[in-house]
Parts: sequence; structure tokens; C-alpha cells
Amino acid sequence: MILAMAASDAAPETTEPSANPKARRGLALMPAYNESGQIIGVIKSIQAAAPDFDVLVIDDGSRDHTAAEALAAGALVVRHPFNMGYGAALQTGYKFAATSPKHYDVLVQLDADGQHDPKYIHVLADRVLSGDVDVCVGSRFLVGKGYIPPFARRVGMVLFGYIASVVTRRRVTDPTSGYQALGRRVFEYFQLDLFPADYPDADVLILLHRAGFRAEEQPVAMKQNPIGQSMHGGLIGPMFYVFKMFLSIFVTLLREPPPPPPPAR
Amino acid sequence: MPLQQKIVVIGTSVVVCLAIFELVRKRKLREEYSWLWLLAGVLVGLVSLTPFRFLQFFSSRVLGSENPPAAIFFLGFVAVTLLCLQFSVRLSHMTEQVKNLGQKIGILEAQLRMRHTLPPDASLEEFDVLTEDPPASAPADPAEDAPSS
Repeated sequence: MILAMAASDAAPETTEPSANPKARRGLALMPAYNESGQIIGVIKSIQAAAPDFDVLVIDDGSRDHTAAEALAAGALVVRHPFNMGYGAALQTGYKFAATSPKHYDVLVQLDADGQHDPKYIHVLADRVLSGDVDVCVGSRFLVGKGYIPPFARRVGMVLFGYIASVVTRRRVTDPTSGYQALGRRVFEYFQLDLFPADYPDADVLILLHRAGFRAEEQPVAMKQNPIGQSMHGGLIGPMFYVFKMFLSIFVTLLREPPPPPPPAR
Repeated sequence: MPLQQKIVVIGTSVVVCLAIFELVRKRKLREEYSWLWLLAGVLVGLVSLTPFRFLQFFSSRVLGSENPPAAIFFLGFVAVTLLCLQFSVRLSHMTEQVKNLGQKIGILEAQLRMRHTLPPDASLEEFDVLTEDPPASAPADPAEDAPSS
């Protein structure tokens, strides 16, 4: 059954049977909303940089041809029947990965707008696969180069990075980074309703810490979004972002500690 | 309270309660929501029947207001606010449920597509009912008529 599923898979990189049956399986997860036109190029660049990874695109109810183009480019596609937001799209990817018969060991999430250079997929994934950490976050500030966001956004990053650093007792330089590798235990855990489905950010780092997961940052280079606006922008203004993140961190700390994840196998 | 005012208030209360029964009868309002509104309607009527002296006593001693009508307005406002809060809570719960449903539908469709039991291009575009002008090629394509969703 599992073999049949794998063989009938749409992703071309899975048609070749792996030489090593114990090979770790990785999934590259990209939430996308109205990314028609650029999604094909982004998928191709991931397939080139990480040919051993399946690419999963979560089309968050786009009103263009994002899903069809992603499918044509050889990605697995889950399409939301309506727009539900970035966090919900991420969680759909976690649920897909956790319930997939292909038993993915690691999941790397990145933005569909090409902001995240796919050559770091293996850097982040290998840290998780080594077993040293459960989550590896790509930070654009650990190396002083690449795209520097505008001042207002940087203030928020420094502020919430500081709060997250104090709470999690490790240095957090880029709390807003969506470029992350998650181990299987983490994305299985995030199927629960406790995952913040609207706009996950520094509060997720705190949630992970309180659930007992180990996280770290690795330097990555990020490009400026060519369009200038991604799913992170849009109608959510910076003011609401700051308010929501304060509230979210505050109530996350007030809540009972989250249930512990099942022990590692 | 003057008799005329009493009649108006009790009349309002009766009309509100009748409207709620009618909505439940027509299945436009679920029973589980109706009780709150019925309670509100009945309370309006009860307030009018309460002796004015008691309202005076209550508003001055409990709320510190010498103006009983203002006290009634205040209590009414608090009640409506709580009702709205209750709806926000229910709405949040339903948002969570709808999110989980949407995710499950998307994943199931993807799994069907991977097993080739779904036309490869099914459910990849906006539903027809939601698009303002559907693409012209859509009705001509026989694959669109397949029971896909």
C-alpha cells in the first residue's frame, strides 16, 4: 500500500526508488497565496537545490492559478477551499506531513515568494536530522549581509527577539523568520489546536520552548521579496502585528504549560 | 412607573418573545441560541413590573446612582455586551472548526489526487459560485462535470 502510494505520487523526484531504504525523507513546505507566475521558478529552484526533498505547496485559497502551476511544476499540492491565513496553511502542511504514508523525518518550511534561498534547506534539515535540535530556524541576522528589512519592521524584530531570548534563554536574532526546519516530533505536535493558526511568530518559539523542544538558529541569506509584499504583509498592518504579538506572547506565558510531546522514538 | 410606560415595556417584551418563538418555529434560529434571547425578553418585562421604589433603592445603594433609568440602561448595556462576548467565543470556536475542516478537505483532495481517483486538475481553481466570471473554457471541459468535490 505504501509502495503503491509512493509510486503514484505526482512528484517526479519520488519516482526513483531510493538506494538506501533507511534514507531520511524530507519535505519542503511552502504556503502560497496568489503566487501565480513566480511559484514555478521557486519550486524548480528547490528541486534543484534539494532533489531528495518532496515539495508541498499549500495553496491558501488563491484566486489565481497558483495550485495548477505548482502541480504542473511537480509539487504536491493541497488547496484550501478558502483563504485561512499563513498559520493555518503551515499547520495544513504539518498535518499532511504527519499523516503521509511516506513518513517524513524532517520538514523545511519556506516562503513561496522566493525570499528564502533553497540552498540552505539541507543546512537547516541536517541540524534537525543530526538529533541535536528539534527546530532549526534560519536567521538573516547571524551574518551581516543580505536583505535588511525596513526600520519599522526591524524595531519589531529586535523587540520580540529580545523577549523571546529572555523567555527561551537562548539568543534569538530573527523571531519572524519563516525559514525553519522541524523534526517529525515537532510537526506531529503542531497538529494540535494549540498551534497559533493566524500569524505564528515569536510566540511559536516560546511555545516550543515551553513544550520542551530544543531550537537553534543558523545563518541564512534572504533576498528582498521582489513584489515587496508577501502573505506577511497585506492587510495586517505593523501596528496590529505588534499588538497581536504582545498579546499572543503574554497569554502564551499566562497559560498552563502546554502538554508535553510524546517521547522520541 | 406610569401605566402607559408599563404597557409599552411589557408589549415590547411580548413582541420580542413571540418573534423568537416564530424564528425557532421556522428553524431560522437554533434552540440552543434562543434561550438567551428569550431570557433577555422576559427580563425586559420583569424590569417594568419591578416596583419603582425597589429600582430606586437598588440603583442608589448598589450602583451609587440617584437616577434609576440610568441604572437600567447600564444593566441593559452590560447584558448586551456579555451577549456579544458570548457570540465572539462561539465564533472563535467555529473558526477553529472551519479551519480544521478546510485543512482536512484540502489534504483528502490531495491524497485522492495522488491516488489518481480525482481528475488531476479538479479543485485547483476557485469554486464557480465564488468566482464573479468563471473562465469561458470551464463549461466546455467534460472533466469539470466529474463528481470531484
